[in-house]
Amino acid sequence: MNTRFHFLQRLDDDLHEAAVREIAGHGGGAVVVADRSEARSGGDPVPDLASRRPPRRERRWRGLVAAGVSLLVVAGGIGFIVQNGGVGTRAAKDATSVIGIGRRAEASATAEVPAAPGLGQVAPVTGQASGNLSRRSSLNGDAGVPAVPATSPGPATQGSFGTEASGSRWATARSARRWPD
Amino acid sequence: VPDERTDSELLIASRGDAEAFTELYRRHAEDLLRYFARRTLDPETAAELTSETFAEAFASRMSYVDEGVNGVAWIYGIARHRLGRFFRSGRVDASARRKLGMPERDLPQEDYERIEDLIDFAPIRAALIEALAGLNPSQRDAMQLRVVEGLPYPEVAKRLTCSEDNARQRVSRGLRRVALVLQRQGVQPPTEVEA
Repeated sequence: MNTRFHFLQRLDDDLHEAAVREIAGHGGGAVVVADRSEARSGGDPVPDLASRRPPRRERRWRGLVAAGVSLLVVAGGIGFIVQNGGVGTRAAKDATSVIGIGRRAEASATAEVPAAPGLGQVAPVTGQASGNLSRRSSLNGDAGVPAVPATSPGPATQGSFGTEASGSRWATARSARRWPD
Repeated sequence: VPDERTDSELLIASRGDAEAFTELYRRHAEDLLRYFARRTLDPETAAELTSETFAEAFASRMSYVDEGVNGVAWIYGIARHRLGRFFRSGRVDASARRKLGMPERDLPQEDYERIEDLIDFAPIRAALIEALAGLNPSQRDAMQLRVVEGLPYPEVAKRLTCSEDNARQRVSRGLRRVALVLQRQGVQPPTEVEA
């Protein structure tokens, strides 16, 4: 550069150097940090974390997006709790009856219906249990009969082996298992 | 061979060509330095603002859109913005230079007087004398000898019984303060042709 100002000449060199570095794909700030780390460690350049850090504007946007997602998650959680709380009373009643039926179903057809591990699986269990119950009821012709005690093997033995209903359930079951023999 | 491209073309080309931006700088650096010197009345501040303006122009070159306006007007837009920030805060930050990894350099001593020569004090001499009253004695004496009486720095230093560097520093700080005072008083430094 043809100028009488030494300062402008130096600035010309500095700008050109920075421009070449920038266009070549090396961030100016990253280079400075790398140089400093090199000087600190006595030669071995340290991997530059600053160069991997996204620009401030991007970080701000990321923060906003993260805050928005957090808000949605919290709002969703509250909504879920409120919804299940409202249904929960009914669900709790259902669950009670379902458990009873479920146990009966389990007792009557243990192999057919897996135990419900959670609320989400109650409905299928209920359906299955009701189905079993209605099937059993229709077999036994006792559709109006109140629910059998939960621990009772009940209809399974009664249905198949009604004449032995007054006997021990375990004995009935054993004898049932032995019947084919 | 002179580059025939317009300033706008150079700005657009500088996105992938360092030489294009260097050419743009060489065309306008001295004018921009004069622009700042006549408004800040201080060589150091003028030099820093010039550096910072070009650094910011390069860092922001991707955002330049050619809308039929001369590309240098875009650079002077950055310059006005930087100047406004200086008058508000009283200092020049180096954010754009840091972003590009450029070093902050001191102004060479021989450039002080050359940059001062760019400043035409005559139109503001009366306001200057009034503004001088607000300075501390050491700055005021240095300003009186250098700016009002027009003595060279060796003579100013001799009369103030200090080094030349110290005399320059006193004058520089005094000028900076005076520029801020004049800006607040609404006294406009001499204008010049802007692109």
